[in-house]
Amino acid sequence: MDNKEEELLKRINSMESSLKEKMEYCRMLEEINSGLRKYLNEMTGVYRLLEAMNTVKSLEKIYDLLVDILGSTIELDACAIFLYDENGRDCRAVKEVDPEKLVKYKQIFNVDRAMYEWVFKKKHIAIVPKGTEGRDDPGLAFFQSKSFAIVPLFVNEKKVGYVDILINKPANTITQQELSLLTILLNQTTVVIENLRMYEQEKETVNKLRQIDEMKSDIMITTSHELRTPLTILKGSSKIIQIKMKEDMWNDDDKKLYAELIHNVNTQAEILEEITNTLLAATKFENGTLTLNKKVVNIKQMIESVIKKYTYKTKNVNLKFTYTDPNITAYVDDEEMKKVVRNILSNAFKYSEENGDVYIDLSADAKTFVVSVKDSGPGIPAEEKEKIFDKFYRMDRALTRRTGGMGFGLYLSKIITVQHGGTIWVESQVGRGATFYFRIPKEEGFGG
Amino acid sequence: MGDLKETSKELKDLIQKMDDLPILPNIISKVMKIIDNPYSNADHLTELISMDQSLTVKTLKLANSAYYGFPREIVTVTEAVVVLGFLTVRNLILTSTLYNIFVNESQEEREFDRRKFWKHSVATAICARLLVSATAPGQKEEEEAFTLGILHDVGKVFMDTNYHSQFFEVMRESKKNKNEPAYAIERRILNTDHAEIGSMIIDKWNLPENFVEPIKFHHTPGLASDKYMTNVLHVADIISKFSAITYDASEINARLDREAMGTLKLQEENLRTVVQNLEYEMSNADLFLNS
Ligand SMILES: [Fe+2]
Ligand SMILES: [Fe+2]
Repeated sequence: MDNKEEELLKRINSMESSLKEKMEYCRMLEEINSGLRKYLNEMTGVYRLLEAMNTVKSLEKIYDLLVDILGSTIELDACAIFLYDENGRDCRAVKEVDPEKLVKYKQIFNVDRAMYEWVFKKKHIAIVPKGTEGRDDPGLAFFQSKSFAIVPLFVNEKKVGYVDILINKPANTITQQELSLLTILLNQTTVVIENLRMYEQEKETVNKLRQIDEMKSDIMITTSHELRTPLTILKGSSKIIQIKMKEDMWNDDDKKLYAELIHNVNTQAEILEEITNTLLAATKFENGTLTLNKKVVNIKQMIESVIKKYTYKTKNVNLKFTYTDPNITAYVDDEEMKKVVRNILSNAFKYSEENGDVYIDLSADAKTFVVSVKDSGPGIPAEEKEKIFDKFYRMDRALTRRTGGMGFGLYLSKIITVQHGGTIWVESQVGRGATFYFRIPKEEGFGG
Repeated sequence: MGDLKETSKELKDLIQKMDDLPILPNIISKVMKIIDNPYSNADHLTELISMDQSLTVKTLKLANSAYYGFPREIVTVTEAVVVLGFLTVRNLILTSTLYNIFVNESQEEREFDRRKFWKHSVATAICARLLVSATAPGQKEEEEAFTLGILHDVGKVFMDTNYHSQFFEVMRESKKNKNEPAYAIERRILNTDHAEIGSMIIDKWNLPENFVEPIKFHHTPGLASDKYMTNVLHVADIISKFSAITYDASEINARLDREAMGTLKLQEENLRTVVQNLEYEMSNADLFLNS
């Protein structure tokens, strides 16, 4: 009996210990299993991101996706993705989650410039410690429950941006796994973001090239068109002169014809010169090499000299010059200013009726002077007002009468005005003529 | 580890002597275990460090050092671990523990200058980290390169301790014969070299498997299959010798493996920057040099 009992007890004991062993074993398996599941979860996140990045072609969607997956990887509270522009100078937020909170905690954690500089030097994720100040703060326990991470974004050696992340757990409990996942996720995303941005930039460059190409053919068409009229007239005039010289038939009628031909040659040569100058100035302006030769100029005298020298007015118009003050002076480039006045006048003459009136007026305030030229032409429709100063603008043929030499003058006037820090504009109603204005700063201290 | 049938008597002896090797200090195997576990956090490392007064002080010193350059004062070990990161802390523990074994606890003056040896190890470690940062930056890889630099010549310590007279002969020979690299002389006299012994020690200490190859082939990187880290270690070793931080004049004769330089895509000017940075970092590396 005794023996049996003892044996039974032994067996029970051994069963109990083996059961305990088994339970312990099960508990370990359970632990491993849950660890694996967690790991699988995180890896699924990474995989999902990488997979999506291969197909998604929009930056916005990548940012959304990244924030989404960050949220499932770490206990994300708030975050902001900052990216530098192409020059690496300006940095701006491209995606934010609860930015006010982020800013608040940035202050609490005392995340300053020096911290970012350090992070960029080290080129890896940094968890900002809470700092020495505020250790005895009663609110300490509250912000200790969060941590602030900065992840610098690099592609090779290129600084692409950074991510601020507020994590909803204290820094000392963040695991290695979480840190390396953050690093992997952001490294991969940075490469994708950079590639996408390059792709978009390339698209832009291609577009720009295409525009330049179109502009080039525009220049070709417009220039050849502009040049054709004066060239035809020049050619024709010289041909006639040649024939007449050969025939040696110079009577009084011929003399009259001769004078007209010479006048044509002069006029067209001037137009050609203007076109060439304008193209030259436009090129200089566009590549930033147009320089002004400024001095103090009496504006009234400058306008008068243009009116006097006005050579190619081909029809009779009544020009009236008024001014508020004959002594208005400004610090400007005299030659360039004359071109503006000449171009606007020539434009007014061109569109005026025979024997029509053209008014030119000069006025000034403390800092600027304004010249206006009013014609009695057909006027300019509202939708054309902005465009007429464009490089290759040509108004509807129906509205233009004699179109010789038109097209560049107003563009050149705009370039010169802008280069002087001024503005040029037109006010008009169809059928009631047009008034062109330009306003130029006198430049305090030099005159006026 | 070579064919045992062919193994000379000396090497067999050496392998037996492996039992005499200092066993890996407990703290290093513990820190390795923590680093191996992806779910470990700063608390786990802090717990380990806090048990050792001198490690606590060193960790705080490193976190606040000019060398590390963190822009804010760090007062607690937890913060230091958070800021320094797991791998840097691992290297700190490794460096400081090995320093105690290799330098502090070594017997009286010997022919093999342990201080110079240590300086060379630290220089190689820093240089290896700089090389990784110049070629394929990444915190994990940089810290791994540092560890390898500290450990790469560990075989020499073993030879000096257990085969003192032969090792002494090697050094004498190497001073006379500057054209023959030291590891070749070791092979001649001891039938093995410090690189091979080193890799055996790594193996015995159960350190990460990927440490074995770079250490085994740090003089002959062409033979390694893990080319990148082996090349890094090789170049770092040579640079730290050339940069007057050497502990063994004879090894200056060793030349950089051209292929290794090529595979690392290192330009002349990169190399110059690395050497400059190395000089700067060495002047700030008191913590590692006199731990
Ligand atoms: Fe060596
Ligand atoms: Fe070495």
